[in-house]
Amino acid sequence: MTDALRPADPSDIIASVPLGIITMEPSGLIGFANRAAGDILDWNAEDLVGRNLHETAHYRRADGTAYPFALCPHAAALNDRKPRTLDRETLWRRDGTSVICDVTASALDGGGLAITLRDASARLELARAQEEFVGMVSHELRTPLASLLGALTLIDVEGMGTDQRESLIGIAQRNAKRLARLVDDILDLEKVRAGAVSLTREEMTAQSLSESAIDAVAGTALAHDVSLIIDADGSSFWADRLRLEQVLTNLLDNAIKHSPKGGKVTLRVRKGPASVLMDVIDEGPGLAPEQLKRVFDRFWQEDSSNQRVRQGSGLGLTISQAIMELHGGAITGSSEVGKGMCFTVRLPVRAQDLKVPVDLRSQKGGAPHATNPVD
Amino acid sequence: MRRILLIDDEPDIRAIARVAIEVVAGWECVEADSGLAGLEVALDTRPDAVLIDVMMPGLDGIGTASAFRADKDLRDLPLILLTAMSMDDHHEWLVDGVLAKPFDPMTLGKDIARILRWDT
Repeated sequence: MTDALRPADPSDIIASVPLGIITMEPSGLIGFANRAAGDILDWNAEDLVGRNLHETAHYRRADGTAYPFALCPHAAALNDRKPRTLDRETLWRRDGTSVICDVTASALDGGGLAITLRDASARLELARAQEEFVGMVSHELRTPLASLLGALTLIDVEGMGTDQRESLIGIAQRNAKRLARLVDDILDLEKVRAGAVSLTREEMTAQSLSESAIDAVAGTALAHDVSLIIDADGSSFWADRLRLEQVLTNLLDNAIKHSPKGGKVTLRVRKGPASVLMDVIDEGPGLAPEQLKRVFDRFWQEDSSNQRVRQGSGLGLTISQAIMELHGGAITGSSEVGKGMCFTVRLPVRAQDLKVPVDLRSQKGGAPHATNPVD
Repeated sequence: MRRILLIDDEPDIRAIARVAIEVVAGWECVEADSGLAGLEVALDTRPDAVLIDVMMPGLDGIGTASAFRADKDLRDLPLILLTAMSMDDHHEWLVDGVLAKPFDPMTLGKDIARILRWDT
């Protein structure tokens, strides 16, 4: 027990923390570098010792121009011994690539500087992705908003035919609905992604789930003259029924809208190894491999003059994928141009889930037998 | 009577622009849903100006404007790009002007006339 209470060796701590730590001697040479500093700068930590830090990793600015040490805040810190913080500073790795770091420098009591390096790439990448998302959202929202506003602005104009006025009202209604659907989908996706959605699992049979999903899209199928086929085995499993229906409905809806007139869409449910597999198969034009790669991206829609395809928010598949990830599963797509599309939803189940509901079994086996007064 | 050709892949935007041009501005409007279709319509109808949406699948607005400039029968047509993005000045050599999207349908005609210095 006394072993566990022995204080850790400070040098061991410094060597092991995931923060790059380097000491710079008054001469500008590196006196010590820990493992993380070596990793960030693509050097063996020991090989950094004795090298001039500025000449090794800080010799150019982000734009590639030369960076004289005299102008570096570290030179100033060596002189005035005041701390410096450099956020998003470009450092140069041994292989010539750059790495963006948050850097601090503070004077050591014995002279020289202690410099910390934190790789900022992940944080910057996250910020960039967020910015890109906001850009996409604003574009997606502005498009229907522009049509809605444009139509409403013109609706009172004198000298318009009844047909024109009615078509403007139609445009306003259609785009208001599209806007509402977009807002719903964006919020839903953010909720699912943030993990703010809890799954309410219940037992269901493949047959009943398939029937509800097919019912939900029957009207759309009729309107597009597409027939729907269920091919479900007798399996049953635990999942969030509403969310799973949402996923299947979305896939079926896409399949119908990509189908030729008179085509058929099949929903097949089958048992796979430790999972239930649900295939949604259409006879549409399919997707090329490079399109297939992007199909789950937010707001991705194929370039298409097919208006019924473009009415969606472009978020359905992204949301569906996120829902299946919450279930521990996934959706994959396979396709050949001209030969239709097959999306496969994989829902993992433990072998016994296929027979006995887990919760029920644990209640039967695990709960102590309390005396029931009614007995 | 001016004749405006509108090239935009969004049918709702075309319908709105048509009312803005025909009813509000009192001009004639012809339309096309893609850059390639736009070149055909331009050859057939000889418009006085062409409005071109920048974000279109396939041949985009810049590509469409370049195709107009490369065609010996169409190269002198006044071209205006419609865009939600801020355009760099380097497209000035290509087109006669840029209109921000979403456009105001009540002033679309006036905006076109101002850019092309038409007397109204």
